Amino acid sequence: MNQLVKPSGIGMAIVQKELILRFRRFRSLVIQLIFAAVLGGAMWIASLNSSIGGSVSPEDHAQWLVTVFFSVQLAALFLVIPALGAVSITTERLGKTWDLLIGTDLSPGEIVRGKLLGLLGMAFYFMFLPAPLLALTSLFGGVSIGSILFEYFFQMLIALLLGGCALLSSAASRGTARAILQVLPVSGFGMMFTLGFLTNEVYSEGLLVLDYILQTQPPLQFWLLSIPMYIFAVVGTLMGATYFLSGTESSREIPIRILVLAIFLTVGAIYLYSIAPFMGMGTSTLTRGHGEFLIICIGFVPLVVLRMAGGGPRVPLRVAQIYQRGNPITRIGYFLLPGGIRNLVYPFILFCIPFVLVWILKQIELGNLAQVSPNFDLDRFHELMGHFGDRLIALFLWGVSVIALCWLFAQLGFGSIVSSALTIGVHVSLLMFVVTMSVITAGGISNPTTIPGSYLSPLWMIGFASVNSQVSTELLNDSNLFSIVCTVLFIAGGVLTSKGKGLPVFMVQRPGMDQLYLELPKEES
Amino acid sequence: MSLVTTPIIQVRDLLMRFDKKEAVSSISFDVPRGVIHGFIGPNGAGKTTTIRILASLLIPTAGGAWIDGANVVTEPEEVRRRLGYMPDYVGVYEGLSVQEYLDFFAMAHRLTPARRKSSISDVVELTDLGNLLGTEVHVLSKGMRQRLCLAQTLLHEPDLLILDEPASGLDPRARIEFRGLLTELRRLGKTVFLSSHILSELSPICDSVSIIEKGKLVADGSLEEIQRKMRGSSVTYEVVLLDESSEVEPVLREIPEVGSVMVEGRKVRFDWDGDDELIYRVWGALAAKNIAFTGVRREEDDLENLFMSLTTGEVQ
Repeated sequence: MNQLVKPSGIGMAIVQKELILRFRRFRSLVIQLIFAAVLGGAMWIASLNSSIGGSVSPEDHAQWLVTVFFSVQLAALFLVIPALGAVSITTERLGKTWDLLIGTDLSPGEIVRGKLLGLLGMAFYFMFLPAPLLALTSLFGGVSIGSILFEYFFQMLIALLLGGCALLSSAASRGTARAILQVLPVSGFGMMFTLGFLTNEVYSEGLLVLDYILQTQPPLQFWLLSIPMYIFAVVGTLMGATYFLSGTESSREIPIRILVLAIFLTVGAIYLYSIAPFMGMGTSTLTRGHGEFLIICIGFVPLVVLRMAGGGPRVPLRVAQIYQRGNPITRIGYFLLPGGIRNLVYPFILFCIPFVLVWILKQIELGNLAQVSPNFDLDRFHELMGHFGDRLIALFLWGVSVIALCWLFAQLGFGSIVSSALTIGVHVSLLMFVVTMSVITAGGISNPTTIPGSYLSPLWMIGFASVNSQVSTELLNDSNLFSIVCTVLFIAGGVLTSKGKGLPVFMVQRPGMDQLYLELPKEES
Repeated sequence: MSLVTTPIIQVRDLLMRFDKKEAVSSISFDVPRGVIHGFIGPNGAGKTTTIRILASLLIPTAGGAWIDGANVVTEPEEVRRRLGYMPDYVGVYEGLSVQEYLDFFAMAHRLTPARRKSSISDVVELTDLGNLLGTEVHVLSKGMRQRLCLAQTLLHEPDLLILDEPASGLDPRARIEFRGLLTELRRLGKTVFLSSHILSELSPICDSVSIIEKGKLVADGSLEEIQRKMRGSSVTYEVVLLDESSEVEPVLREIPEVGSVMVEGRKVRFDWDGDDELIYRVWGALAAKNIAFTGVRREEDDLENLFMSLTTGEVQ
C-alpha cells in the first residue's frame, strides 16, 4: 500500500463547517451591517456630489456611482479577508480542535482548500449582497453589464489571492495576533497599490477595469507575465500553507521547490521572449537599460534563495522514505530534495538562472551588431560590454559566496530566517565598514587601493567598479578572489560542521532513521 | 500470526527526545484486543507524548509503534483510520450544534451519506446524546462534551480508542457514567487505551495497565500479574473469629503453606504461600477444631497501592 498517496478533495466538510460558523456568529451580522452602512453611505454621498442635471449626464452619473461602489467594495475585501483568513487556522490550534481535525481522513491540503473556499464563500456573499443596489445604477445607462461582471471577476481574483496570503500567514503562525500582524502589511501594501492604481488610472477616468483594458490594449508581455505570476502566487500561498501544516518531517517542500523553479524559468523565458528581439537595436542594450533586469533579479532572488539555503540540514523523514524506495525520479530530481548539500545546490541553480538569461541576451546583442548604424562606436560598445561582463562575473561569484555563508549558518544550527538575516547582516556590516574606512582613510571613494580591507566587501568593490572603469579590473579581481576563497571556506566549514553533528551531507538520509523501527522486530512479527 | 491474535497496540523500544530531554525512554508493551488498558503515570511522566505518538501526531526519535499492524511513522493515514483519538482537552466549535458537529466529523472521515446517518445515530444512542442533538456544543457541560468527543471518535467505527485523560475535570457522577460507557464499549468489542493519573477511575474497569514514570515503564500487564510480581508468592488473609481462640495460631502453623501468623484479639492475619485453590485447607482445619469465624478478607493490592509502591513520585 502506498501510504504517501492520499485521496484528495476540496474539503467539503471544512467548507460546510466554515460557512455555518462564519454566518452564525454575531460578528458576521455586525460586519454585514457595517459594510452595508459604509457602502450605502458612500453611494449616497457620491450621489449628492454628482447630481444629475447641469453638466453631469445620467450615464456619467451611473458610471461614477459604479466606480464608487467597486472602490468601497474592494477596500472592504482588503480589510475583511485578511482579518478572517489570518485567524482561521490559528483558532483551530488555540481552540484545541486541530488534533481532532488532523486525526480525521482530511489531508492538510484539503483543510487549506476547504478553509479558502469557506473564506471566499463569505467574501463572495458580501460582494453579491449589495448587487441590487448596483442594479439601480443601470437605470441611468452608461455602464455595460459586461464591464460590471468583469469587475466582479477582477475582485474575486483579488479575494482569492488575499485569501491565500491570509491562510499562509495563519498556517505559519502559532498565535492569532502574529498571524494578523504578518498579513496586514501584505494586504495594506496591496490595497494601497491596487486602490491607488484603480483610482488614479481607471476609475478617475470614469472607466471600469474591462473598459480600461479594452482602451489601453496592454501588450502581450503584460498578459504573459501577469497571468502566470498570479497563478504562481495563488498556488504558492496555498502550497506554503499546506507545507506549514504538514509538519517538519513531511515531503511538502519538494513541490514548493518545483514551483519556485518553475516561476524562475517561466519569468525568465517570458522576459527572454519579449526582450530578445529588440536587443542590440537602438538603446536596448545590456549595458544600458536591460542590464537592470539582472539587478531586479538579484534584488528579489535573495529572498528566495537565502530562505532555501538557510533551510534545516536534516532530511525530512518522508523525503528519506521516498528516496529509499529508489524511484528514478528522486535520483533525477536529487537537487530538489531538502536537506544536506542540496540546500546549497538548489539555491545555486536558482541563482544561476538570471545570469544565464543575461548571458543569452549578451550573445543575442552581439549577434545583432550588424544591424546598428554605421556611426555606432563599436570599440566603445565592446569596452562597455567587457566591463559589464566583468561585473557580471564578480556579482555572480559574490552571490555564490553569500549563498554559501547562509548555508553555513544553517549547518551551524540557525533557522532559515535567522540564517538569512545573519547573512544579510554580515554583508551590510562589511559594506558599512569599508565605506567608513574609505571616508576615514581616503576621503571618499576616490582612491580605493589605499583603503584597508576594501576586499572585505565585494559589494562595495563591484559598486565602485561600475562607476570607475579605470580601476575596475584590479578591484574586480580582488573581489573575485575574496568571493572564491570565502565560498570554499564556507562550504568546507558547513560540510565539516554537518559531519561533526553526524548529519549526512550528500546522502538523502534522515539522521536517526535507522533507530526507528519501520518493521516490527523480526522475532516477534 | 493471525491479525485477531496480534495485539492491537505494539510498542517496541519507543523513545522520544525533545532536544536533549527524554520524554519517553525506550518503552515496550503490548495491548491485547478487546480490553480496557490503563496507561498510568504522574503528570509529566510521558503519557501524552506516548499517546500522541500512537495517534501518529508525533514522530518518535527511535523505536516503533504499530496500531493494528500499521506503523505510526510510515502509515499515519492508516493508523488514523484504525483508531479514534480523544485528546486531553476537548475542543469544540462554538456555533455548531451536536448534530452538525458529528455530521462534520463524519464527513471528514469520508463516510458516505447513508453510513454517516447510521453512524451518527449509533454513536448518539451509545453516548446518550439523543436529546441534545439540537443543542450548541459550547453550552454543553464538561461531561457532555467528553461524551460528544467520544462519540466523534467512534464515528468511523475504529476498533481502538485512545483516550488521553478522559476523566479529568469531570464531576463524580459524570465519571461514573463515563466509566459505564467505556465498559459498554468493551462489551461491543472495542479496545480502549486510556491514560489517567486518577487511579480510582481505572481500578474498577481496567483489564490491564502500563505504569510509566519519568518516561520509563515500571510495570505492565494485568492487575493480577502485577500484583503477583509485587507481592512475590504470598497473599495475606484476614479472618475475623466469632470468639477469641488460643488454638487458632497452632492450627494455622500446622499447614505448610501458611507463613507468618499474627493474632490480635478476634482478628487473625496470615500469609498464604500456596495456590489459591488450596486455601480450603485452612478453612477445613479451622472447622475441624470448631473455630468459628464470621468473615474472611483477602488483602488485594489495589491499583493505588501498586502505583504508590512502583513509583517514586519524582517528575522529569
